[in-house]
Amino acid sequence: MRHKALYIAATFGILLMLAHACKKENKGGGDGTRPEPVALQLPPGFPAPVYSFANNPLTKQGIALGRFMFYDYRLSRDSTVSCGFCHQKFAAFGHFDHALSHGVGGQQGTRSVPVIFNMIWQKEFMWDGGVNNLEIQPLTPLTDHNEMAMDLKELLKKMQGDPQYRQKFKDAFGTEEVTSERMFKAITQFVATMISGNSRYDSIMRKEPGAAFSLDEQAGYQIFQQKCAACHKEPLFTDLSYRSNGLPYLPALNDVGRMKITNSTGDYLKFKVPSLRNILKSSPYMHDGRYFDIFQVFDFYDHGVKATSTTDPLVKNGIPLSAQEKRQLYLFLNTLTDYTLINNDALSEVLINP
Amino acid sequence: MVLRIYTSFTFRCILLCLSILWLSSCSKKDKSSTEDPPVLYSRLTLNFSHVMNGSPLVRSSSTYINPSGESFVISRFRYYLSNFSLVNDAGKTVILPPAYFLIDDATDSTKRISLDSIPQGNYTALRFMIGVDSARNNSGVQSGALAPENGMFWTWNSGYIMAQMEGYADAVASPTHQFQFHVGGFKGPYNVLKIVSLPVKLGINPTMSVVPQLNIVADAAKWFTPDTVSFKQAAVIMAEGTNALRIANNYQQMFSIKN
Repeated sequence: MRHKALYIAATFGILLMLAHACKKENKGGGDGTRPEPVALQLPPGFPAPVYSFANNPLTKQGIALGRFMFYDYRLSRDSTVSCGFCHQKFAAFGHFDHALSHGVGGQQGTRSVPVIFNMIWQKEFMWDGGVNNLEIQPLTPLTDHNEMAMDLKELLKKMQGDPQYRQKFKDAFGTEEVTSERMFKAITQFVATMISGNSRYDSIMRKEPGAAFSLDEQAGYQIFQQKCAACHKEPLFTDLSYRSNGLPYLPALNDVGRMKITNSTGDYLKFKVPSLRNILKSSPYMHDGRYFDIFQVFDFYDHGVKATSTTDPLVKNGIPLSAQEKRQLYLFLNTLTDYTLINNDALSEVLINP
Repeated sequence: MVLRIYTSFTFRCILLCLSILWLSSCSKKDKSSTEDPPVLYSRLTLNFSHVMNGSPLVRSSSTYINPSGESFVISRFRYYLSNFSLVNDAGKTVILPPAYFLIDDATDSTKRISLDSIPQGNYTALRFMIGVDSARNNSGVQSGALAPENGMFWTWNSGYIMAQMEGYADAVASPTHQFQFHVGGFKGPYNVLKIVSLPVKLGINPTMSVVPQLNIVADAAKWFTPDTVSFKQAAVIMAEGTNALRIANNYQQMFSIKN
């Protein structure tokens, strides 16, 4: 009896080994360890993601490689700036305290660092929507001379020469080959895991036991629904459209917004509607970061709108907000802070040991 | 105890059966791949050569004159080709498998390309696109000829540079006198994607021992005409728009078959 059991066990073992050998041959290489698939947890009530994972399935090793690259300062020309340098987790992956993005060699850009969470629901990227796919979004900051200023060919060579990277690429994709396609797919995998859908607002919407707005928050939610929700549409708190909100034009930056992408004068001064999720953690505000405090934003909508021919009809005449309304709106926006994002250890900085 | 298992009759039987199973399953897979019918298909090699008004293009040292009378030197000349198809003698278009090529005058190996899976038959026209179709412009990071490190991709406004000519001209007012024609754009009124159709006399017979070849000439002078392009008017084109479109409408005429 005991022998029989052992025979069966041994048979199973050999079967497994053979099946494995067969697979290996068909795949033409690989060391046998396979990237482990990861299922993304999407917040209930969210729409289906725009980004298709069909050609870039999420794996534990792919996400890990993406995370390593995200925090590797060696990806910039002078090894001083990483993706995480501008996209800080505690600021909901925006840049705390800096109006304009800045990069290697004291260079400064012309726009503020956008927050990067819920990116898989966006069909276009950047303030002007010039980038059309999440996978190629990192190309811009990586190669822009005001940001990481890296030559992609040189970077690939550098990474290929690094045994640590070769191993990580092998873990994630089966072979040591470092290609730009793999690089960007891995970064995309990591960024895809930056999901914000678990704020107090969300638990209240999900009717979780004990979750409720205070009276002021509830009043703030109503003000939001009346005066803000048309553009900052739930549950993403943006309708992902491009609008001119009447922000006074700054000659010094001369930023025409989406018009630069479409060549259409109808898009003059239009910028993407940003999400209000984590808004109190991700100051400064507006595409040029000109407001450091959310109350300045309220004041702007109340009496600072400067209408041009392309200013959105919804804000053309301003959005009147009383002192009490501002306070209540602030308290509501506070419920949109997602601590499961900001405190998520899986997204935090990794130590780079060159 | 363990040893006894390995030497036992049952174990050997199992091992034998399994090895046979394994071999047969593996060889079955190999067979199915050789069952693809290569008998009816052939390859086709296209050889590209670049000229300026009929004489071989010489980068960086030869000075040329455009129809506006401006003298210039070409330092870089490259373009994407894709979406190849053939028209057979029955008038039917045979679409070839997706393939993308970046042809660079500075790299000889890129000037000889190979098209696969061409069915047996007689063909009267070769068709291809100058540039990269909108599907590839929209679907994220690509590899090979389309890899972003080739420097033919706009990052601030996603899309491929379909064709690129750079050089120097005294007429350019900037300190470097450099002109840069980066022709791109695949959307709406500024779509620069051009389909070229070249008449050919091509018989594909897979039993032939040599791969058939076509020699294609690209005349860089065609970038400047018939819609006259002058450096004074636009020396740097780095975005989609009317200037890029004008050049694309011109260079659409640059190819011919030499054979």
